[in-house]
Amino acid sequence: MMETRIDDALMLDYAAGSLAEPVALAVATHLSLHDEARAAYGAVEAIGGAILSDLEEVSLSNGALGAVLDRLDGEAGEPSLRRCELDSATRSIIPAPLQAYIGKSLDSLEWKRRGAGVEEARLAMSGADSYKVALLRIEPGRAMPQHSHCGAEYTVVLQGAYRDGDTEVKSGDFCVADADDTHQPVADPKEGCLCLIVLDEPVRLTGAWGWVINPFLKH
Amino acid sequence: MTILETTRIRPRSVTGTMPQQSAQRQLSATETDLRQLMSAIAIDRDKQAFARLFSHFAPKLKAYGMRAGADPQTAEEIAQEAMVAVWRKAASFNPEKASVSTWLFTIVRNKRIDMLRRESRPDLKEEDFLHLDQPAETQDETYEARETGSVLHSKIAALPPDQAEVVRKAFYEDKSHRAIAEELGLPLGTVKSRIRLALSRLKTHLADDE
Repeated sequence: MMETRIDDALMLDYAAGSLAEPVALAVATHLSLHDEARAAYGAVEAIGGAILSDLEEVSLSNGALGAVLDRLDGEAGEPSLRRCELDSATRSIIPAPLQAYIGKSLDSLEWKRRGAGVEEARLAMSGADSYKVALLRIEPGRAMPQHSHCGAEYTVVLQGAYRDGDTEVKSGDFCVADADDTHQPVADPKEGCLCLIVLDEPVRLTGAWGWVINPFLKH
Repeated sequence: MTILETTRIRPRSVTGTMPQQSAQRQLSATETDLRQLMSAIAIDRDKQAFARLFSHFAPKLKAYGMRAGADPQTAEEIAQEAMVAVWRKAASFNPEKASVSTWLFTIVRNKRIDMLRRESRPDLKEEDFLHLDQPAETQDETYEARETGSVLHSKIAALPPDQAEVVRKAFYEDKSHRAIAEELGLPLGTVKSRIRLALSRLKTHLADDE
């Protein structure tokens, strides 16, 4: 059976803030949907707090506090809930960390066919050139697309499920695959599957001639 | 009644191992003290309380910035920006969910990502969870989060040095496991397994212990 939730080392990296934004997005999306993982995460973030409170001190310059106090009057309190721009159908499926990357609605994304019963919509993320971040929509019973890649592939199921060997991967679950994984996952025969995928693509496979260099890649 | 008059020392106080305790600070800042300061800031917009919180945390926030690679001036800006964010967001601090230092850690971490990497951090939002019923295991962890004063600190202090080292580097230095492995001259798998071993020691009882 494969792991369907995040492992501790990756969770620590997310808590520490050292993950690249695309991978952090996959982790945050998973934690938003998976209650157990979310509960475990609070304890890991608390380690950050304990380490911070034990940290050494470096003196600030003399005017530092004064400069901050001067700014406080201009700072109103922040509302704790933000207005969401998404339509309600999208909001019921897409958790908060992912919403910012969706725009108006799932339907407003540019969906492209990627084989029988598979559609893909790439999500824009500035500065994440060596990553591919996309939503995948797979019809019931169809095979998930194969990605030939040399980096890691992170998958978070948003809706529906898929089966990978003897493991069922369902809403909120998180899977990491590397280049050696030759899997042939299949979307649930009744519900199909909507998921977030993040591919870590090494620089040497991409570039201005991306499509030409890699005719064998089925991106 | 002022914050100072209502503050008292709890028996289980956080002493830590800070080498440069300020001589001017007369009270050791326990979690209770910090929570009272947060209340005063959130509810009364009390600047004196804010100044006390600043004097307690800002030097650590600056140290955090420098450990992550910022020069002293940038690190000081990170500390200042984080404290301004504390003022702005004080009303959203929830003592049921985390200690003051954990909450502050999340703020300074996000500022550090913003200012040093110029990226945004996909973050969990509280409103995502308002509708969830908290299972019993989660409540135990929240208890641990509140009691983070001595239990978690002593567990961290008790970590074997090789595990403590990788956990600290992972939290402070904005380095991937690969970078830590290269720096320490270790195989990547060793770094990952030390982190996992450390975390299994530090986590409180969870339903899904593996």
